[in-house]
Amino acid sequence: MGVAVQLQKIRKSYGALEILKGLDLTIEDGSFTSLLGPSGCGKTTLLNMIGGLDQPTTGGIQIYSDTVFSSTDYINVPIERRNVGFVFQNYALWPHMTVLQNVGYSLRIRRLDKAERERRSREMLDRLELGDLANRYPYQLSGGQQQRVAIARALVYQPRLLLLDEPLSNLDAQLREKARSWLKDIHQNFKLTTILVTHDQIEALSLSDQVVLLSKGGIEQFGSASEIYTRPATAYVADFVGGANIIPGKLVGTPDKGTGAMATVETADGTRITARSDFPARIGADVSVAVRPQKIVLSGGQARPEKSGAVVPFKPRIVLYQGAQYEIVGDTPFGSLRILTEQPPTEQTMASALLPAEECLCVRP
Amino acid sequence: MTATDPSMATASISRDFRILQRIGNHRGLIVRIVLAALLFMLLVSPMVPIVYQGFLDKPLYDGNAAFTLANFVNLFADPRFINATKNTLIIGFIGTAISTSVGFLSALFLDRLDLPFQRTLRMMFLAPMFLSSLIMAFAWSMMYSPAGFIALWLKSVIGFGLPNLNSIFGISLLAGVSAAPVSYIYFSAAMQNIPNTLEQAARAAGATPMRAIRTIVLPLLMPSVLYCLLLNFVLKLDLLAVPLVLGGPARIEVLSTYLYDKGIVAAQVDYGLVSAAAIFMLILVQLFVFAQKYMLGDLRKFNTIGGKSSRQSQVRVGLWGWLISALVFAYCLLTAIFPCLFLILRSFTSFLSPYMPISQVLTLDNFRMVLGYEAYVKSIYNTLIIAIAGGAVAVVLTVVSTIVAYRSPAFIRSFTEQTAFIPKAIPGLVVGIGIFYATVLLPGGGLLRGSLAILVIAYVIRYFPTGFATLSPAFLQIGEDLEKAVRITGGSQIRSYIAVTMPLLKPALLSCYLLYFVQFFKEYAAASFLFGPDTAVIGTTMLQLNVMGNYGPVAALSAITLALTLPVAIFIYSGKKEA
Repeated sequence: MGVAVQLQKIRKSYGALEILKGLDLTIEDGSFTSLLGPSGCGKTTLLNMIGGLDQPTTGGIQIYSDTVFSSTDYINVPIERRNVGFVFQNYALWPHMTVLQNVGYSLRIRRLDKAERERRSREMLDRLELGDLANRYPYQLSGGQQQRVAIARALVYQPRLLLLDEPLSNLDAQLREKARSWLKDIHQNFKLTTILVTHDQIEALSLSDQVVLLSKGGIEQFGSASEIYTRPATAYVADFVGGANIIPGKLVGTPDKGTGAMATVETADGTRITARSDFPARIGADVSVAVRPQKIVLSGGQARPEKSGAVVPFKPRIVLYQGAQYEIVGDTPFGSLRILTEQPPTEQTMASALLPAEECLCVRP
Repeated sequence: MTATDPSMATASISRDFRILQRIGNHRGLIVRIVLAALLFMLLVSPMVPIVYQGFLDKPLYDGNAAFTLANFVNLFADPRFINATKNTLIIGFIGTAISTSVGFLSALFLDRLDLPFQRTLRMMFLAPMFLSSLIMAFAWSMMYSPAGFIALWLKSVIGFGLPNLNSIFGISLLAGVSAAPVSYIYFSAAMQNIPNTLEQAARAAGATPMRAIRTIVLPLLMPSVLYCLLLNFVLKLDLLAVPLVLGGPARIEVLSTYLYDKGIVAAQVDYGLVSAAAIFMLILVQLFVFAQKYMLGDLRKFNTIGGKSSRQSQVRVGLWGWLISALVFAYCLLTAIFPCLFLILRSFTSFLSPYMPISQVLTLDNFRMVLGYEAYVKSIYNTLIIAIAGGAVAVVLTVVSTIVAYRSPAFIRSFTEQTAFIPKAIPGLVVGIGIFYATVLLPGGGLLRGSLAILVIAYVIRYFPTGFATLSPAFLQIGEDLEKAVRITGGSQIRSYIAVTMPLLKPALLSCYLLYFVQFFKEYAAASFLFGPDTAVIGTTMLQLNVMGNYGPVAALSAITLALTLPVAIFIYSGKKEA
């Protein structure tokens, strides 16, 4: 597999304010990569830089080994010569052109004759099941149709990359789910390297091969969707993707591959938690234990201690019935815990909480 | 059973009470309907007596007046009128072409290209907006007309002068130039309403920056271009000073000067003929309004979905930028800066000629004459009072109207919105004539005629659409929920406006007030029909002095006006910087 996009030491600052703090990233040919993060993390800025709508303060960008930006060599290839497809959050369909004209615009710029232009545009519209709408104006389309036209417009000139800036955020919840599988379909059909910006973790996990989790202008973790979810590198990732209870503590026992022993973390109040650990850390280092709320068991003290990472006394404060499950928030000696369970909780079962060792993950704080 | 059955009585009392209560519940609505109706009456008041008079054979105060069509017959039989109409249309078309293209190009240059000294150039380009076209006309006339300074100087140096400014083309040129800043503002705002992403999408599709502007931005500006053409054309119809000052010496007459001459200067005013001419102007404007609407068709084709309004990207043009900046600078120098400086210089001299050294003609006599003559001083005071107090009155009316328009059921809203823009299609002179006739018809009108109030009424009607358009977008941004929140905590409706809406509107109110102030300060066309011995304004005084050939005092009055408006202009600019 070749490299589609290479970012080197991308930094962006407005005066003293640093938006991106020198990040490196390699995106593989044909992959679907999501840039995931909360608002203000710099994900859209990064996408705009790849597309050429924005420039890094320093750093370098290569698309299929063409340098499109380099602060040291003073290279900045303008948007129109990067040959990338861009889908904007508000779709940016040209209101004065019909659907067919919107799609055909790029081919006109590429000096294709009228017949060829129309043939290719219609073919693209048909492939995206938009054939009937060719002569409509954007104001005559629904939100979902506008989104599909925007994608057709970005695909028709066979760009090297497809860049999507939160394309689903303007759709309502039901339509969004449909559009998600539709997007996945498009990617599999066109086999085009796709980069998606989103703040929605489900969107990122379900669509992409690779997820880049950004926070405060840096990369928190870069990995496959399942890696990000099952092996979060930091407390932040664990909480942002899927949600987790974060229990701060100190490492008191390192894992040992030979014996199969797990790591041991001691919290401020002295509770010891046995947990999986994937990263090397010295005894005494500050770490956190991340545990997902649906993995905690309300045991009432009747669990097998050998499989448990810790069993702690629990004082429930709030119980919320959510239909399929209950959400319970309560206190333990080391702070508050959020628990999701399908079993109707009783006063007795709620007396203590069991944190299964396999589900406890030792992460960077 | 007795006649006064107590249960029956209570029933009828409670029914009365319920009716009262129902009225009470709808009190707000009734107040709004009344206010909307009053606004409508105010804004159409100039038109009604004109139309009425247009079909009467005698002045409208004459009890024996009868219906007739003779006024229109006489009007169209008057060769002067036919000629004036022809000139008006020619000047309207050429002037509109000039102001629209200059405004459009400057908006493109000053907003979308990355030019050196952009900010300064933009300020210089917009500055003439604060000048009345009367002052511009005098300044141009003193400099560029055949007997003007530059023309004579060129003749002495290179042997020939300038093309004659006292011609139809000269009038069109100045008319176009003086409306260029308004066109610029119009296009600039329209361009900002086009989301940046539409252009970026074109760039991503492979278009160069210039091509993106040409194929995406320009077509989307079409409604604005057509509207701007219309606006400019109405402005040209309205222009009195330029044809009066530049066209006077060459005896070139347009509709506005025809009206001016027939309605004010003439010893025996033919009310019917003047009204017929005014009606003709109204119909002319309506024709253009209709044409504009017809040409645009379905407006939704141009509606852009409001995205994040990020700053417009600017196209880098390198060395060309210096050339364009130099061109814009030269334009500003020639059209506004030099003429104004010259006018100021002229005000300190008894006579200016390239054949005479300036040191011999320096004098303060012009200012002594203006400030020593009570009527002239009074006109300065009057102008200030109208601008300051009249501006405030206009703001109050505008605020009340926006509340009525945007905090009411849909039918009141659309009625008020449409009402608010009626005066846009009434030329200033026609407003003046109409108000004058209205005071003739109405009891107590004579009292009004002798006071400044009549000028304020005319000015308010004339500039109401502009003020309403300035305030309403800001008002629309304030969610009604904010007011409802006040009411939920127990405040009355009026209180919610005072406690929440007004403070949030402060910046918009200020710019609305400044707009009225500047316009009221400049206005003279509507006043020329209405002013009496005690109610002259600077503009009317200047016109009188000009007729008498007293150019020195005209220059002095212009200099005083410049000195008074300049601080306001600077204040508006510095306020914009913060925003």
